[in-house]
Amino acid sequence: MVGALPAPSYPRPYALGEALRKKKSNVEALLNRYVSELVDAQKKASLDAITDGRLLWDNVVEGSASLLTGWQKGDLTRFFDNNYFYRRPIKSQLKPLSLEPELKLMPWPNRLFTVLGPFSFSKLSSGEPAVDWDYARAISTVLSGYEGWLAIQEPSLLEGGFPDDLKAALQLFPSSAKKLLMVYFRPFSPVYDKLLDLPVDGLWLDCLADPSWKVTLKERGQKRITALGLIDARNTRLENPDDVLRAASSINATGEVYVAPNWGFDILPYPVSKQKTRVLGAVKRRSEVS
Amino acid sequence: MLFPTSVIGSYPKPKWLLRTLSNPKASSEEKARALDDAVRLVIKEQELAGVDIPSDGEMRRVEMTEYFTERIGGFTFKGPVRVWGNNYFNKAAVVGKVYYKSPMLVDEFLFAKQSTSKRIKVPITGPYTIADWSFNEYYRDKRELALDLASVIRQEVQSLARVGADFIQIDEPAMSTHPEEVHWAVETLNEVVKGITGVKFGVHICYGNYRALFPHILDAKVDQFALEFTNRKFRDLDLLKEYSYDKELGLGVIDVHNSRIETVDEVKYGIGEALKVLPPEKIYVNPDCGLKLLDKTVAFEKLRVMVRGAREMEAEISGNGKRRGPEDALGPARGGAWGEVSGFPWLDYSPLLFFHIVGGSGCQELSWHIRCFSHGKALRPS
Repeated sequence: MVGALPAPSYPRPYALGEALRKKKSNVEALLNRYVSELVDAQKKASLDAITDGRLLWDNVVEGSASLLTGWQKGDLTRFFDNNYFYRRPIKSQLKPLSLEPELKLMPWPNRLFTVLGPFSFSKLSSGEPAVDWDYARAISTVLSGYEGWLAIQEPSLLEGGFPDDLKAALQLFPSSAKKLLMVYFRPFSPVYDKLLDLPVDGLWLDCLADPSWKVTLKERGQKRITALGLIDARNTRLENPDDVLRAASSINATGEVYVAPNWGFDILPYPVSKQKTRVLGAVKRRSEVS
Repeated sequence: MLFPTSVIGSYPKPKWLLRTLSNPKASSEEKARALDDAVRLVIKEQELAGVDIPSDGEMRRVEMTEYFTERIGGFTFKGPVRVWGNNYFNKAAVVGKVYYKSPMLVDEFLFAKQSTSKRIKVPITGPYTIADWSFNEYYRDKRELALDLASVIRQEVQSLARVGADFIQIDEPAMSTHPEEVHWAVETLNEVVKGITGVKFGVHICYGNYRALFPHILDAKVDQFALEFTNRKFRDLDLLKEYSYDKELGLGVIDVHNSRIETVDEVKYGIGEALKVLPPEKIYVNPDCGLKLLDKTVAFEKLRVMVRGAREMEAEISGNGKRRGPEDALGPARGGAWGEVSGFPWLDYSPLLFFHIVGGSGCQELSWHIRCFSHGKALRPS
């Protein structure tokens, strides 16, 4: 059977963005309204994990950094090849904050939380193709004891330069979490064997960016959990649930398989992100009855 | 003339214009008149700064792709998307074959043309960027969409050429973000300009890895590339040398990412670096990118410094100039006018002072409009 996971982040609705920009007093009310709307949409779709959408995070780079102190915002920088930008964190001495305020927004047990991995944090902040050990230590301290799904985003791993010490850095992340290493925007097949070797419970793969994804998964095996990024987070076109299920069922699964977005829904229009959530639910339902 | 100065296109919108456009009580006539006034104002500001080839500041455009996708057939909108922080734009979705409906920039160009005696640069967003910054729900792939869009943009360029536009800049900021697509992206550029004569074609590319553009970009049948250099400390000039670049260069000498005003010497340094790669007659001088995100007074001052740097370099190259010390770098722009225009709130709110400085015919009506808008009204003088 094929399960379904939500995007690790959802687009900030325009009204909330405007309220934040104008520092209006209704920010908290709007945030509660939209989080509740998103949670309902995921529950209705019977998704296997639920996220609050991380609506207050400007992006995963600054969002992850916001769990720490000892950094400041730098230049506006393009996020890979998207027309979407983040402020490059310039770190001094990173220190962990508490995760409690974040988890209060996600009190449910099957929550999905996300952070940037230590290699991508380094690449996207200082540009160094190396594990940022300060970040790895600090962010794993923040996450210590976290229970639930944890998507560790490492898109920079697909740009070349797979670091030998990533394995050791990922060992620091909490064993209490169901850890998925998430890669996207480029073909993962060239580094798939190395990904399989990492100390995480599963891989979250951007199948849309890799024409060889089916062959790779069939021939080289799978982790205990595989999240197939088959829902396009960079296009508004809605997928046909039957096509998605057919693709997901074709890999001779050896573990748990989930359909998922290939990335966060950050740059979709908010209404479309909810429609895509319904598509995820439709895939899961069809899988249950087939 | 050596080192003609220009802009990339956008200019900060006056606050009174934004207030008028967002005022639900303002009539469409009032909004149209405010836009006309704003165009006259920003062209005049560029003239005051000494810019040789101004633009209309893109006063009528909300965003560089949205303006076009609203007017090209085959697009629809499904809600705003975030670009960074709390900044959104209406990213369009292509839901059918794209087609040309009617001229998009002709009125804009004609109005700008009648507002100045100078040559006008018309920026137009290129097909590759429109394709890349849209959701594609219809075409098999981006290339197919971009080629169809090239045909649409080409029709617009033909319309502009027919009414006398002779300097058109195709804006392609997305082109440097997908290195693997540059070879066919250049095809779309060539499709836009194919067979059109009597027009100088420039291409503006910013925010990306310029190395990824080479060598394919050299196949573009355009006259000029306007590129950002200041933000990259002029390092990418080496690329031009490496590939024996021989087109005109729109040399970016003003950083649009921060509000620090460059010095005249910094501008001259940039031109000097370009002269190591290209002969002087190939060099145009402009900011790195559009100025719209800067404070309006900062934008004006940056342009003024840019022009002064270009003119001093021209004089030095021609043997008429004398070397200045750095202490002179921010002196008066034109015979003492600098003291009168520092501070600049007058550009938004004080039409009488504006009239005093500009002087001459043609500005009185403009000053009247500004005065009326500053009091929340839009009236024509009887």
